[in-house]
Amino acid sequence: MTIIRYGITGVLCQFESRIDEETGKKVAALTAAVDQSGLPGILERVPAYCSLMIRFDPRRMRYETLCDFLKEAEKKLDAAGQAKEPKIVEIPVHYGGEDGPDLSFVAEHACLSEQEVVRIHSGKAYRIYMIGFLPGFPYLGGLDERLFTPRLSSPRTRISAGSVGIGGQQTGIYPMDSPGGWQLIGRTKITLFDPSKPPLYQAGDLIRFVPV
Amino acid sequence: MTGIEIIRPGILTTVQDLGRTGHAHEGYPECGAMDVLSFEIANSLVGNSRTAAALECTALGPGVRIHGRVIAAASPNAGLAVNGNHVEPGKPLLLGDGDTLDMTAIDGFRAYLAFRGGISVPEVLGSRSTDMKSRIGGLEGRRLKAGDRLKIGKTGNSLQGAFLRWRAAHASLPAHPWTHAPSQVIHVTLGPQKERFTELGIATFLSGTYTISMDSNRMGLRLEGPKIESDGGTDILSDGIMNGSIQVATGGLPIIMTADHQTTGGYAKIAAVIPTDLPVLAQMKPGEHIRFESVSEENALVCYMACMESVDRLRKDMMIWEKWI
Repeated sequence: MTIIRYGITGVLCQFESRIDEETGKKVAALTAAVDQSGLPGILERVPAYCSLMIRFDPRRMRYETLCDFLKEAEKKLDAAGQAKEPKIVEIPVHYGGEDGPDLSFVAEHACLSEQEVVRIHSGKAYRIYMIGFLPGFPYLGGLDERLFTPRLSSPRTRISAGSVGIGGQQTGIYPMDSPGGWQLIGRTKITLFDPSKPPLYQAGDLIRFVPV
Repeated sequence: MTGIEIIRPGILTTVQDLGRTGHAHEGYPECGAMDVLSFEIANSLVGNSRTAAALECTALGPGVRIHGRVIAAASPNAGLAVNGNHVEPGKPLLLGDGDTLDMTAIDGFRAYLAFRGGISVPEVLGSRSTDMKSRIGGLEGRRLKAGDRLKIGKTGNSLQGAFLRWRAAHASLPAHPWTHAPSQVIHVTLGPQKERFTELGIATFLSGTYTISMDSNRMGLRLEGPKIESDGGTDILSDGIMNGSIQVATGGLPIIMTADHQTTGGYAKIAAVIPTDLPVLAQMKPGEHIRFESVSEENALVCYMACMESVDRLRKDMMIWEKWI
């Protein structure tokens, strides 16, 4: 892990640049360590695929203090990452039909039946590497490569909240109405965007899609 | 009900405070005042705490009608008129039921209108800032329009107004770093991904003159100018972004991320604008020019501490009498 200074209010903890579960676990463990540190003046911590960005108030904490803590925390990462069982969040999805207008295209592209696409897509839990783009939008890893499907050549101007899609090598959920270019294969009725409630999931958790 | 009614909304007027902090990892942009210094001055002039919400006005300010009695003040870069008569800028005003308050001019690009007691809209995730993309905060998560009514938090009486005016007359306002020069120097600290750029690329970035593009908004300032050479492209695995991060997009042109920025991004960040220069950028219009100059973190920190101290001093100056009345 490399600690990189990011202006006078930030630090970027950079792991090896790749998307895999091991790196994801390290990022999650470091995030948890920062949360439990009790360090004063931590304003934000944003875990991503292979990094953790921390923003802090330089009037309440010195950069050097944060660095010292991070160097110590790094030594315990492997053990911490193994110890913690990730939370699994189940998302009920109605696949196909009006809720998933591109399911047939994805099936055709993969030379599979629609039922097989649903079975493969809902057959495993996906790690959330990062939340970004929109509030509650999960960047998921681990899509079965048979389901890799190019994005729409021209993005839709409005995708309904709860839509589940595939874009290239990724799968995910649109938490709110938004424009977007992913192939839509289903939709959940669960409310994913509600600022009055704690978020359903965060980076480091696993998501499993359950067909309904 | 004490409050204000929007008569003319201006070009882009929104409710803002110091931003929605602590939710970037859930994908919520920070939002908040683009020019935090001017925002803090306006709030201080009416004796508000740092967390009170005020109106951010862009390019062409709003006109409001007062309901009840309120104390108002604008950042010193705004021209104000009460019932059509111009008043001295940078002073608190005591306004009565039915008065109209017009922002007649903005020197720069953004000005702030604060009311004693703050704009009273519900907090969403700990902030009253308008997030226009997620449609939360402020008034219904959107820009203000004619006919909108906003409540003002518990307001002071005329005696408080008189004290504030007297205080403001004796207070020295913090200096704003923006000037009328057609080209401004913006100070940056390099990194966190400066190694993705060639020596020539960094030199281009630090010597070129960049023009703020028309596509700029509260999310970011797109810049036009010399292209920055990278070492094998600027795509990275997405990571966290903060206010002031300078991403270099695929074409080699920089984008400065500002208040409403996305929380993560997939372009390498060559540098970050130092926090005390963000108010300069907030006052610049599309078509104006900037040049970047690199400073050390140590120097940037000294500037930041000095600026925050001057704001604290003003706030103390304005609030010192609070416990006496």
